[in-house]
Amino acid sequence: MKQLFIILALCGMSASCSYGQYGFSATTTGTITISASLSVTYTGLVGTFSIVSASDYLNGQTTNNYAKLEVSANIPWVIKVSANSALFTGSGSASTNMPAGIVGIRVNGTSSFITLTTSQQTLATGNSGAPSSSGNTFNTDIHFNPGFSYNGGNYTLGLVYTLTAQ
Amino acid sequence: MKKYLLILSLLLFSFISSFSQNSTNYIQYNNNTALTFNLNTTTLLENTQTISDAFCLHLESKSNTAHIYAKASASTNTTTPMPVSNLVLSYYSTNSTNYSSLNNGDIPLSGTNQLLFIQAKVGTAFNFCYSVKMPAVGYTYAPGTYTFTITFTMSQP
Repeated sequence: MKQLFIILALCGMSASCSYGQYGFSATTTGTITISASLSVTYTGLVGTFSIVSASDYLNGQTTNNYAKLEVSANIPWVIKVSANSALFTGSGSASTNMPAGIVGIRVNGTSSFITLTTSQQTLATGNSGAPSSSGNTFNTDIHFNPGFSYNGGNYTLGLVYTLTAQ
Repeated sequence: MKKYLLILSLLLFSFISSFSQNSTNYIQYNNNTALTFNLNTTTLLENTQTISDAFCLHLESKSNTAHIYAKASASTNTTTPMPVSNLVLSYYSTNSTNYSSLNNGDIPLSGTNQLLFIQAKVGTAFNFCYSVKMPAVGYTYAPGTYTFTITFTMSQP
């Protein structure tokens, strides 16, 4: 009789196990690799600059907000500016020796202009974020001060903005 | 005595089989494409990435109705831990006709089980295939490698 109870008990336990919840599983793994990524968008706000008045030649000419720069980065960044050549390219009767150094660049709202050379100079720095993040979108001002040493004419100079990690 | 041994053996077999996968009750993960997201441009950071038809769950549930769940965990050894809710499962296709409660919307993963679908008991194996999406992560996360694990569970209530 005792043996029968044991068997019945075991049967009861087995039944309760058999009708319990069974769990089977499968797993997988994956990876997300994020590389340091930066980009800058340049928007020119002013087309060409005309230096015509006596005051322009005496004191130079400043144009505020001549361009907008928008930085996207997932790391702290630095943006540098340089001229793509030491001298302006002239057309017509323009002089061939006007240097890049007659141009100054600054972030709008700051006081000092960076005198352009072919070497990269720091214009601005910032933290990771989209252009909507504080400090990642800013305007720049430009200043020309050619003096009286150069002929009238059309002059062209390329500016290079370089965005890198800090 | 021989009779008791036979009964005990049967009970033991019953007990063991209740908690193991077998040839007619199982779930299996089949990879179609590696679950690897490589975000190396700002454009990729700013847009949803999708691995279409990334994997199929191959399953059979002959003994009972099967409820299929998914949950995930992520490694946290980076300076900016990424929550697994950044990963989304999206139903792609199935060859089953005996299912119900199929969640065919986007399913952001979490650390707790979420029901994917219910498969009626049938003595045939079926595939349920899914895409894996990662909505734009933006610039919040530091460069590095983030690892995640997805666990799929088939329960037979």
